[in-house]
Amino acid sequence: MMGAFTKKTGVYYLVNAALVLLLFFVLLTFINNGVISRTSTGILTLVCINITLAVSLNLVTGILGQLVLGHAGFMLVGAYTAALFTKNCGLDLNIAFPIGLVLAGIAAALFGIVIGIPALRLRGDYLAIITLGFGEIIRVIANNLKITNGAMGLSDIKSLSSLKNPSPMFVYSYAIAALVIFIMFTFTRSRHGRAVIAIREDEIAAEAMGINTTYYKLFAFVLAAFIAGVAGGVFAHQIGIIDPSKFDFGRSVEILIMVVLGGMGSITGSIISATVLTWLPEQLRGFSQYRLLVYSIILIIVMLFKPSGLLGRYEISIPALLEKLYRKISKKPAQTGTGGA
Amino acid sequence: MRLLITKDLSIKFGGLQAVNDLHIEVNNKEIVGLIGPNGAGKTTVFNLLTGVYPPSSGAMRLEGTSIIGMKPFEINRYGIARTFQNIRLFKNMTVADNIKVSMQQSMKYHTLSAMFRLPSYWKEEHRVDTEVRELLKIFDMEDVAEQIAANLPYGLQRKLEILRALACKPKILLLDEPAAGMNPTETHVLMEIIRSIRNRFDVAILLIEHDMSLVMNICERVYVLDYGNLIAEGTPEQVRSNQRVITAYLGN
Repeated sequence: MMGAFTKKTGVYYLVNAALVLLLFFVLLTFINNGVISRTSTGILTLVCINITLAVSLNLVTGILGQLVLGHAGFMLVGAYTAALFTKNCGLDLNIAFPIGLVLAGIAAALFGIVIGIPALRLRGDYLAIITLGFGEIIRVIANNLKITNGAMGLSDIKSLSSLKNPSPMFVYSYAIAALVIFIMFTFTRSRHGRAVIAIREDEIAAEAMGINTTYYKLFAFVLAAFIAGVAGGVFAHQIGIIDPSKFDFGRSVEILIMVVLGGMGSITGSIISATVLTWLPEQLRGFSQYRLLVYSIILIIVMLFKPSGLLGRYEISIPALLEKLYRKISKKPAQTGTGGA
Repeated sequence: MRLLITKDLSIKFGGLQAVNDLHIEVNNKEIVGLIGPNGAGKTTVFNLLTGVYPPSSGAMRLEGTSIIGMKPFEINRYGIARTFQNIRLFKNMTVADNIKVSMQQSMKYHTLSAMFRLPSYWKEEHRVDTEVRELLKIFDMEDVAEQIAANLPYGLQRKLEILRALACKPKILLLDEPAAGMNPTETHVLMEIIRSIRNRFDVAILLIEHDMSLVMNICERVYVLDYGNLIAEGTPEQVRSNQRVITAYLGN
């Protein structure tokens, strides 16, 4: 799709915005009426958090093309920053929480800069190993500092949701996920996004065409760290108790699997796989001894039959699907060209 | 007027003197050839000029300013754009997006305008869209604008690489074997295109080529390299009859 704004892209934007809002209000009504239970609301919130995490990792791994194995480290920084802030600032939680999330993002982004400058000089396996190392370092530090309360972690982190009012955490996580998805789409279709994709395609050629590769690699890395930090902040307040073991290597791999399964470089793919991979284990809790088995079998099957992930690099566009459907019904010949977003 | 000058330019890889005391000059709007047998160091010269390798010694000046120590992207912004011997397109991007990557320096909108699609985003993207279409017209490639670059036939990929370099709006264009793998008819068309590019964009062209008919036809001056040393320079006719050149290519 060319970047130019046409009537069609305008309509697509409106349809997408309407769908996002519609889904939001339907879920919100159900939550407030008790149709969706408190447990299910919790899972929905986790789904939104995981979508945010997967989409942010996809920016680095799928779109910039650098394998990163320490994403949970940034989540940890964000989670502790937000939790420590809301616990100690003395402000009302309704005010402290959003401020805490911004601080969480900033703290994680600062870590992203410190880690990114040395790490992004390397590529491929080397970068993967160094980010793995940094992720573990962050966890071990959190395990030994006084302010983070060591291995005991932080407990009694207040949630915005309550028995009377079950929805605020969901509202926050949904809004953040929607905003992050929107930003990812617009970012990748801008001059900055094209520069990042060009680096994935051919770093030498990108630099020879005037792209400051160091800047854009660091930019994508830090932006992903910022988003992971915010998601970590929401996560801490959703589950109430955090300790370093919740943000270990396994967590990083879990996020990475969501990206790989959905398709590296496909944002809609990440959304779908993050939803399924968060929801499915919860549904399989009943027969818990088979849970991991089913989970791994699904992964193996997808990797065998579709190694590029469910969607590869494609994006699903609901407005485009609706348009196709409409054409089929009204028997009009299809026009060429489909839109993104 | 002299655009690009190198003086005593040398680079050593370990014990191998890949380029030795190279003097070349390229004037404004000139088409200059750089030829030599395989392994003579031609592509190394391109890599030196574009900042991929730092020279061991010597000077390079573009419009009087030294470009030594600049990073490849800085040199590109300063006015040197290149193509590669083995095509290096952004394979999974569309043809139009490949060209837009080169134009990103001419766009100024901020990351936030990109993320929230503010008016400056639309304005500059519209302008660039039009420019891309105009560039594609030169090679009659408007109809493949939305195709993925990897799906183009080989000849078109070579042309796209030239367009992508042109989109950087360089003062001097370095072409590394633009006719490699083309048949005589395609090469002939390419020659006309290179000439028209020079006239239309007021750009100097330095090209490496093994196809002698192309070199002899369009180059105004030719430099001949052998084992990293400059062994001859002059008009195509002078070079053609130079004894050292004949020896380098054919042996004694």
